[in-house]
Amino acid sequence: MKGLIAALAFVCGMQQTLAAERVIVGSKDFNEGYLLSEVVAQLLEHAGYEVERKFGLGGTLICYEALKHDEIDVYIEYTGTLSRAILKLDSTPQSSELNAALAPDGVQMLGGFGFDNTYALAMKGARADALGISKISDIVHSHRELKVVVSHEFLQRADGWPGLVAAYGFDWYPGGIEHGLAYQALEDGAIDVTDIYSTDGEVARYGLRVLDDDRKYFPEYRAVPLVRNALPERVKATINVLENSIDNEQMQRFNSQVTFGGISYQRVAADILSQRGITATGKSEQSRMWKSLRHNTFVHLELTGIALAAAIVVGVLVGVGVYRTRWLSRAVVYVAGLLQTVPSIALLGLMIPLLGIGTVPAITALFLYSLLPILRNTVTALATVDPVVTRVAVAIGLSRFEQLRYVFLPLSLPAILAGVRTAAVISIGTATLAAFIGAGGLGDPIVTGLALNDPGLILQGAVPAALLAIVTELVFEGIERLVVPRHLLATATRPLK
Amino acid sequence: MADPAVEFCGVSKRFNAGWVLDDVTLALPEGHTTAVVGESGSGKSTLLQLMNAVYFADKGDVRIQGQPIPKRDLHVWRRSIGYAIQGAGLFPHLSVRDNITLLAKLSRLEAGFIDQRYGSLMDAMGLALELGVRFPHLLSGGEQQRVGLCRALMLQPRLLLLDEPFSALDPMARLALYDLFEQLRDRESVTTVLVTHDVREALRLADHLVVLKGGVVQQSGPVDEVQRSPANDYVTALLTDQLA
Repeated sequence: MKGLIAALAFVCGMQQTLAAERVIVGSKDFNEGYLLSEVVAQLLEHAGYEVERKFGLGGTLICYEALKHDEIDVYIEYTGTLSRAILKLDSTPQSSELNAALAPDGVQMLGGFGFDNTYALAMKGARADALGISKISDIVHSHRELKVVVSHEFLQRADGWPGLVAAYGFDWYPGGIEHGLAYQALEDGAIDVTDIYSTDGEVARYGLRVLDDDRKYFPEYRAVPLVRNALPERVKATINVLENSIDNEQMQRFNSQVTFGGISYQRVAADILSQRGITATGKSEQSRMWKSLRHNTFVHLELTGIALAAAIVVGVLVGVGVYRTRWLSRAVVYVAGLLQTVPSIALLGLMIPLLGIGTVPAITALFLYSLLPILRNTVTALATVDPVVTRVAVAIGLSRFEQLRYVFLPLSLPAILAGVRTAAVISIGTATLAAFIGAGGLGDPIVTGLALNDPGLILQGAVPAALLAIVTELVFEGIERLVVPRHLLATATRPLK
Repeated sequence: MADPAVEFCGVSKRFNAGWVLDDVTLALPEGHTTAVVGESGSGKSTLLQLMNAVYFADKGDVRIQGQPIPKRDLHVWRRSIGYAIQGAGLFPHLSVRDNITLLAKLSRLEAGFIDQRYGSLMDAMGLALELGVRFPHLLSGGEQQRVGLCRALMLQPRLLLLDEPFSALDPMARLALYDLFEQLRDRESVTTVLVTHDVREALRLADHLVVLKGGVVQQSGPVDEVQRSPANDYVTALLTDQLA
């Protein structure tokens, strides 16, 4: 016994040493977030740390909550976002004041990179000339001729559209779009005005006019590494080497290299470091496509498989438990239906304080989504078994368990299987969103591809996910054929006289 | 007379709508077939299901061969009583053979006995053994009903309850089945209670008669006695109307 405790203590001690040497780097789900986080990751690897990357986390809320709950150690944030979106302040104070406000969350800003990636509104130069628009207040007069469409995050944030409305007196509501798609939409003329970041590589490439913020509304968005307070000082010192090392024009160029130059963000990150005398190795993702495809598919199947198995067990057991009581089964199905209506990304975000980020909350969310079709089909099928068959099953002397095991469940099997099949296909689709909370899977290349404007990468996730959904359909069709007698498969079963 | 097979002593049963059986006192003879006749809503089907403990009396006592309905393990009680019903109620996902032998297997009877008993019942009911692998929906109504009777008799029950099992059949199939049933019942010498709305059928198959109206017993006794001296106008009318 003593030996066992000693061994356990040793293992735990070892894990603590390992944990101290390992740094988890997160990133937001857009190109600059990937690039700067990769710079930090390579810098730390160069300094001898083991780095785990959790890139492409879905937005500010998820990144910040993940940092607050020790799920990641560092990611790149912007001062304006910190003050307005996270701390809900009206202005952006000095760094020292910001850090004081962040301290209660156990979070700290390190020295800024040296550029200011503020929000701005932009439109095609030619269109702006034609309409005589050069500053934001010009939009007030000609918004009826303009299709103003902004990113979903901008639309929601206090320092985004709502603040802009207050500052400029807009009295109408714009459309929403995924930021990664906005430039193409501008180029195609599908939209006229959108929000951009001032260091985006697209500004020069698409010939965009950045509209003058004539009422000085947009705050400063200086890029800073945001870390957990508890991170060892030497790790913080290592990251601080990057303080004031990149200005706005450089950042535009780096972003452009990734987005349009066909250079991987890992390569560009390595270049940024080597220009500063640090030789890191930027591994190229391209050569590892098949390996990562296999890995992503496996993770995807693991997430959906575990969630589905749990949903089958819980759904069928609860269904069996409640189907005899009409009001109870209605209540249970109603609650399961309610869960289904919560948008998946919102559900994932809401669970961070409880379950953190990564595999566990992803599986939990998928489990909750799988529950409804299985539970509802189980309850409905059990409740609608032919009453004559039900009466006979009782009257000839089958016990409660035997009635379920040999009559009611086999008769409900086709409907239950159909529910499982629906749940499986929904799960495989929804699991692509798990990448937003760092759970990996086939959503990983999709999120990365969206952030880096790389259609090839998007397809590397989307195509296998679609194939997986089709294969799942086929597999379940096969299972149905194997376990359900043919005449019970069709709905046209002749009723017994 | 030997001890009665079934005794009802002051039995009343109510559902939401009101009293379905009112102060029923009966003794049904062992080794005979009793027909319970009455119009629909007379409570005859409820009377049957009080015997195999699907329903429970609100007042009074039901005893089978002297034993009261037990408080627990009701499925064991029900298993000792055969039950066949209008429409047969075969399990659609099980083959004919599995429908008949399911309970025997769950009761862990010896495989050799099950085979032998199954074969003998199929034979007695005029069912070819090839039918054993078929699913019920492929059988005619008469065949389904015969399978239902085999299932009811598989465990050699001490009592056989029949709830209008012949009603849904066409006249030819019904007459053929009467003969088969009588032969098998006599071979097994099983005490039988038959619920039917058809007096002709009752007289054909039973030697003891119970007449029910509105949950109240009008008359109970040997068939010839009931025919010779009906207890009241209702019984007279029931017998003469249907036999006219």
